[in-house]
Amino acid sequence: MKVILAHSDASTRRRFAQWLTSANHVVHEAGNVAAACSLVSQGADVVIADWHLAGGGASFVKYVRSLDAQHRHYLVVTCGRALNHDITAVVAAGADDFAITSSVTQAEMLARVDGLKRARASAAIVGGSNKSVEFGPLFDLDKVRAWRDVDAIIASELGEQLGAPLQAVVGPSSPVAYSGAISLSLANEKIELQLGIGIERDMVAPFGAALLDGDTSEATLADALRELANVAGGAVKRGAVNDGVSFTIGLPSNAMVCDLPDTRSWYATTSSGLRLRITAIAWASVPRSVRRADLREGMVLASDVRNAAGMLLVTAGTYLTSTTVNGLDRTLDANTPVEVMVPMSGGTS
Amino acid sequence: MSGKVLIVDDSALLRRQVGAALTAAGYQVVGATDGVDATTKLADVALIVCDINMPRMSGLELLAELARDTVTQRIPVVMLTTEGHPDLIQRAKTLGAKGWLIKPFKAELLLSLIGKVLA
Repeated sequence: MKVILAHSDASTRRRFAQWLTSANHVVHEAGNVAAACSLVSQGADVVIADWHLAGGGASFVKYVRSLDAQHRHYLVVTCGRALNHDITAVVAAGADDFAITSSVTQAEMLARVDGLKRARASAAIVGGSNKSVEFGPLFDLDKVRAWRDVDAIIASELGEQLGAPLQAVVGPSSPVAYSGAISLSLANEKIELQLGIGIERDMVAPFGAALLDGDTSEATLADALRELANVAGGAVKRGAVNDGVSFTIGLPSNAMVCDLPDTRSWYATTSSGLRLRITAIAWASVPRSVRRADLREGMVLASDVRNAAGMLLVTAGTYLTSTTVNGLDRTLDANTPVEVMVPMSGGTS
Repeated sequence: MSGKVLIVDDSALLRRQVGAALTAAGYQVVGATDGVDATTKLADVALIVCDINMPRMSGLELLAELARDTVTQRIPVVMLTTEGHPDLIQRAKTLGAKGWLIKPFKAELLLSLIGKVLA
């Protein structure tokens, strides 16, 4: 396939170009937006563009999408590392897929470029090669064992981290006092997963004693729960590879999804009574418009939120906390539409 | 055992856990929160234990940075990460990493690996 490779860093460009040419792709390289636009105007099958391309990666992505009526390029966007707001912005700008420059492997990059073949095959099945097809959240997550069995995987991994076996137990829950969360993305399928690890108020002291030498300061608890979420996410990512699924993992945060209807929620408990609240949710990376009054903690903003004067309030990709929701309550009318990402079974298909 | 080990991880919990294991085994330890922080703490470091996914500068980027300097390229690096893809491991090896352990780590395995690398 003909591939345009637009990246400002020459060594990264060389590395990607070697990978692609070794798989018999014909690669044309550009180091800035002007050169990339010139190449794209001549047409290609796939465009790989860096989000931070000199001259403006976001502008270039928009330019490529503006050519869709004449020729639709399959667009893979790279960014330095997996930050949730970057990934959301990349997908929202029109990328078909993305890769994290700092961790992408040759096999992963080639698989992402081959996404074009899969898209073409699906288009042919659905409506013939001349028909434009919107690729929705059709991926069956249940075929990924690491996701299906996520409760057992987390119990095993976190049990090792805590030095005590954990059991997965379903039961009524209380609000968490502290939490950590990690996102895993399958951008080609427009799916994002989130795993959350939380502790309720009565578990703060036992958690501190078990893991933190008794330190229960807010910063220490937040850091520890981020790391537990990171370990859990890594285990799911490694497990998914066995099912041929390659997730991109983000950096851990402290915004855990708890109370949405499609959230799977359970406890991981030790025999000594330590109890971690675990949540797992799959999102379709397809924005949905909701009223400001319907915003809830844990939702993810799909686009920037501005006030009536156009002033930026919260950026796309933000996981809403109760503080953010309350802030928007005070700033925006209840009926103001806000674009958010919705859970997989939330009726987006 | 002796020598100074630099632990590079954005998690204070992980730095604390690794630090405790290494200190108990007789190593001196110093921590860094990411690759950028690590580059300022390389003096007299005998070995680096390094995460992959970190803000500002990742573990692979740090490996590449170390390889650019004739002095720092001699510091052995052991990766300690949740990642486990063979291609990623190969890339780290190509960049000079001497070992790879997956989190959550077992102290005896980490100490054994560090002992072999420093031998």
